[in-house]
Amino acid sequence: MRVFLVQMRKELREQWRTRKMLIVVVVLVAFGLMSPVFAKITPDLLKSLGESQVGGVQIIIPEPTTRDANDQFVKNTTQFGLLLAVLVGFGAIVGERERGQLALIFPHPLPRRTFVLAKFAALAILFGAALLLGAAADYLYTVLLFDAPPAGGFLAMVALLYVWLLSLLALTLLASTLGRNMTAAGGIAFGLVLLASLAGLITRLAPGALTEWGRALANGGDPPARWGALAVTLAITGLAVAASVLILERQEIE
Amino acid sequence: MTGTAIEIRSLTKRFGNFTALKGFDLTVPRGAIFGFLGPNGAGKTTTLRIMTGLARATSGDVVIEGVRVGSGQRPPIGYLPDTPSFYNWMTAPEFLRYIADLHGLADPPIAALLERVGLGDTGKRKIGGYSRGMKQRLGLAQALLPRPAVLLLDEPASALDPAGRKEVLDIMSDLRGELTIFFSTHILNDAERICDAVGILHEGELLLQARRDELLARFAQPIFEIDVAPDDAPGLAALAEQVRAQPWAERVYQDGARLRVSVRDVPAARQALLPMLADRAVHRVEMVGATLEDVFLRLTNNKTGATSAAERVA
Repeated sequence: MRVFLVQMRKELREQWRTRKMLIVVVVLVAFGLMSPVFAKITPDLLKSLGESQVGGVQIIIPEPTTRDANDQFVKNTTQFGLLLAVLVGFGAIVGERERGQLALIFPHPLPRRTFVLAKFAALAILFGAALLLGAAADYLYTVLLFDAPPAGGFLAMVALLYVWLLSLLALTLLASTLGRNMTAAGGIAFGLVLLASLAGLITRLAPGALTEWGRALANGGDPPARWGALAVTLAITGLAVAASVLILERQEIE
Repeated sequence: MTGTAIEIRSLTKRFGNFTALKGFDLTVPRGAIFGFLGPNGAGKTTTLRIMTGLARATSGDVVIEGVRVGSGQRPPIGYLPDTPSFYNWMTAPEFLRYIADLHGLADPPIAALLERVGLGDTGKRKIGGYSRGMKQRLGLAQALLPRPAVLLLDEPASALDPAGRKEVLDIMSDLRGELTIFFSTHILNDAERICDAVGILHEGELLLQARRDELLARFAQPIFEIDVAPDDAPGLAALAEQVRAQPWAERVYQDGARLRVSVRDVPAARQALLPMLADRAVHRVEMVGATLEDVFLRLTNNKTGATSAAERVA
């Protein structure tokens, strides 16, 4: 546990010093802030562009509501969260292996299992904190511009988005362990994440179902629970991290 | 300091069809500075990677201070790879603090160690801005920090300029008696300068392991060193051929304007050699002893598959 904490502290400091932390927080908070604002101004923008009257047919743009702000938040967070998870995570292990840093630190008492778990934990903390801050910003502006969303449903949405993000981080970390170089790891990461996203088109058990479930809960609805998707997403996360550990433990370090 | 620090038994490493290490045995006495010599591609780095647990042997064992590598228990080693790569965003004290924390050292002598390797005045400068020599010295510091019983160094000075090489070799020399040092190198002068014992690896086979002095004495062979004027150097090849044909000549090497002739029969050589130099612009003729380089070249040139087992002197 002591070595795990030492390694995790190093990872968090690295995120801070290399500005990864700043980038992830700024992007997720910015989109948290902008989501309700976009929802509010989009109809006005469309009206100002004269697009409510096309070919003599009048298009009625309804007044935006809290539901639109929530939809916008989920859409932005999933799009940019996915992108950030892959971009920040894909070099985590392969980068250190390629640069030769692993050859310097692994002969010290740092088990490879601890190394992987600390990497994942640090990424989970970073994205958890950034998501929370982004959600807080979104909630604040939603309250200012619309009616407050149901607090319980909103929190459930944030929690489900987080679980979804964790699965992407775990898959990206697996790609970073599998890839022989940065390019390969990036390709594998995008491939795995794309596969997980496409799975949502064919089954309600895919991680993507969690974001829909969360959106419906934040909108105050009573959607069917997606416990199956939750279990599958948690299993993907656990298996991907475990696979990373097993693969790295068997790898020879140059 | 007595006993065995490192014991390698039947160490074999295969990469597909290629056998990088061909089942050699090696023993390093505790407290020695051991030079692991061999040309590039001999298998030195592969051996060190197995000793540190970064790679696995196909078969065979490495035991360091009684701990078998790969047994789950960590041997008391410090390791410096050939080109150490650090976290460039850290400062040297931060990196050493991180290493100390991994080892659970409560009060690590970071400042003293940095002073010892000549990095005491780097302040808050990031490692990313260090020269190669500074990184090599910081690499030595991180390897020494946990006070290991055995220090494993992979080509610690080979990539450095002469000043940097001297600094690193001086630090290693200063450590004599404190711990066992096992270092690989293809620069024989470095080994000759600081080693107590050497092992010579060639194409994955250990040709020889011996104490340095015993090795030089054993392979001692009179060598005539002939220096000619640089203008006369082109004609030296013909002289080399002429000498090589003599029955008293064992081996002839040419290095620029210098000819080194190892001989079997000194009086005969003395009698015949000087007349052969009569019409040369000779600067110097001297009889010298064998160097590690002579032994190395003799062994590796002779190595045509006749002898595969380690020839032990020590």
